[in-house]
Amino acid sequence: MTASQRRGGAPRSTSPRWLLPAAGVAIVLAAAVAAIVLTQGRSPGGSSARPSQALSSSASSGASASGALGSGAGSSSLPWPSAVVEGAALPPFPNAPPDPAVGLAAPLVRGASFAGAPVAIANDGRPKVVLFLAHWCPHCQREVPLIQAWLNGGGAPSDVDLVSVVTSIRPDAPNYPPDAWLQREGWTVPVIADPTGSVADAYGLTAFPYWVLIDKGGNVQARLVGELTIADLQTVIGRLGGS
Amino acid sequence: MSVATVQLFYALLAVVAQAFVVGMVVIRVLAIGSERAHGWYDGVAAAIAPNAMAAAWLVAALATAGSLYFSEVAHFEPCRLCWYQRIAMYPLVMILGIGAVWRDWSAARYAIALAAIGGAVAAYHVGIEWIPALDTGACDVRVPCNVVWFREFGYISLPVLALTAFLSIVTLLSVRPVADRSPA
Repeated sequence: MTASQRRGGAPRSTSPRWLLPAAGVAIVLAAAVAAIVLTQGRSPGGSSARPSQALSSSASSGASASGALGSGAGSSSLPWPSAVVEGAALPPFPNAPPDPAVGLAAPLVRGASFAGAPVAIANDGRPKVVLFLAHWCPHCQREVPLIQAWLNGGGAPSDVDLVSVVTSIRPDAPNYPPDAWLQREGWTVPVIADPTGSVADAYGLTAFPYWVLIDKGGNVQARLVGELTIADLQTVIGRLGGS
Repeated sequence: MSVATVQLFYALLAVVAQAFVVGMVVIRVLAIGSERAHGWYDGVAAAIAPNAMAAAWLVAALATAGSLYFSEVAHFEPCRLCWYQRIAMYPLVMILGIGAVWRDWSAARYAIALAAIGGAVAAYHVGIEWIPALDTGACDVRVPCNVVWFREFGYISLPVLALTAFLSIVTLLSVRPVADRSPA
């Protein structure tokens, strides 16, 4: 039958009716067999297999207002100790200004890097930029190399301290573990590991990357959410009295 | 059965479905100018048409099963955009299933409308996975949409699976022999 005949007359399927269902079932079965065979050799710790049970608790509480990823997420099984937080927690970062945390005393933190070296957020008379990062957040993954390149190029501020808090650590989420990620990026900013999310909660974190600017009196000058360009960051540091 | 196996299973199905969708679009475009391509298109369409709704139902059922597996068994938490795609995908199992059983071709209208909306959301979701700057520039602390749980073959993530399923459903329901455009 030619094409023109087909278009002219009422076309009738020349293939048997069972062909399409059979093809559909065959494709599904073939994909299933191929998937099982091809993943048989893969170790359960492979890049795409995740310890799926680790998150069962947070999955059910995913809608809690305090931030399920920030504070839950099987933190008890993480290999890093929790940081110690002192002082009243800041209110959560608001969706719209004004930010009620401005002028409040920033909580003090005594924590440690992933390697165990002590790192603190203390009231030591120096203004600070505290940057909260999550290893699974693509915006943090973009921010980190930006800042590191700026620091490597001699951009480090002299009168303002930079501190990073790595929080919302989830073994089942992409780019775990966070210490390996920061090592890959050559991250030289001091890191406080926050495996329980206690620092994030104390600082009212709602999104990543999250910035808390602390003046030399130890009070919150401003809080910001989202990626910052280096120019933004320099403006922020300038307002804190740094250069 | 591990999560990796299920991911690969769906990724393989997605590749087949993508080849089908792209193939049909290419043949349809060629058919505008080529009688031979028109013949191919009509041949494929005639083969598919009698069971197109059942095939579309199979796609929707597999997509729904996968969606539930990844959230309930693998514990990949669905984000806001995931939920919109689920809202479009899950009813398709019923609409297409009932349409296929009763041979009620008018079900295709409702299914295409739902699948088109779901496909648009999935396309946006795929977009922010690759270009995070398309969204707000920050990750929500709860369940951010720009977190990529997996990328099989370097590109097949969860929203790519959803987009593939929506496009397959629209294609299956739209491909009909040119001469057979009886009013639905």
